[in-house]
Amino acid sequence: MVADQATFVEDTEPFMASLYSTAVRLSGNRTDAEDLVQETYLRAFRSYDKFEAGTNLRAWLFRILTNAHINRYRARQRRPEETDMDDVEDLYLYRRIRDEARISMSAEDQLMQYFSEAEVVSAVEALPDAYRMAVLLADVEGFSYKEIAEILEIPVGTVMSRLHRGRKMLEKALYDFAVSRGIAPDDDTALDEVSADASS
Amino acid sequence: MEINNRPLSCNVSSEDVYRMLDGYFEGIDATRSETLSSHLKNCDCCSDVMQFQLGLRTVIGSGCREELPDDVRQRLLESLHKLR
Repeated sequence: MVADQATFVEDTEPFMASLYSTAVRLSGNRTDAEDLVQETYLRAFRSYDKFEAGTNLRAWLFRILTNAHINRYRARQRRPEETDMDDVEDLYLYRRIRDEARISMSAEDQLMQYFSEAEVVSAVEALPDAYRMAVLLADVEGFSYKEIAEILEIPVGTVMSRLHRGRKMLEKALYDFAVSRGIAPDDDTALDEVSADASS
Repeated sequence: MEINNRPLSCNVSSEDVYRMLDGYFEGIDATRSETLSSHLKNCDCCSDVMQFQLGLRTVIGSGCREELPDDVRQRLLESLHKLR
């Protein structure tokens, strides 16, 4: 059964807030985000007869949103450059900040001692598009890897590697904020034992 | 800088930590994924890492959420109602 344009507004309105939230992080500002959501709704309305009623409407709308975003910023590369990303060590932040107060404090509280919410936003907004989309869909919107694969039209394995790399880049960026404020030692100091291994 | 993906103190590799975190065991055999799952249940070190990583995802998620202002909602709805 196909969806009916007559019910389009009531069907899709519940997703407006989360579409807008993602649009702000994708476009980097509220004005462009509003345009992007408007464009998303227009496109969705026009092809609503192709949407199969009963399937995942939220994922379908996000697919239109991310496609609209990609088309707008075609100048930016759709595919991330694969250079430099592998330099970030796995579990980067954990290895650097988790030792001290591990017993008494939740991970969230401990993390927020090192950086602010504004810094989280700016680290996310600095990610290359392909990584940012994956991280937003997973960590903000809570889509499953399979849903993200469908939204971004890429294999699940690619979703996972983009998330993995994107999250590591975030960890590094967030740690660097803490270093720049002098509340975490810079990387060379933090990783003394690793440097010693590497130079021997 | 040379990347050094050192294993955890319980000797589990970071790759396996991520596997356990995502519950994604594709590409490794069933015996090994069972071993990992049962290790996880009893390992303080792994559960601390996972709590930390999940906490990080929560922090990223809640930090990035943006409220939809009422005036924006109104404008979007108006444009939606013009669609028919």
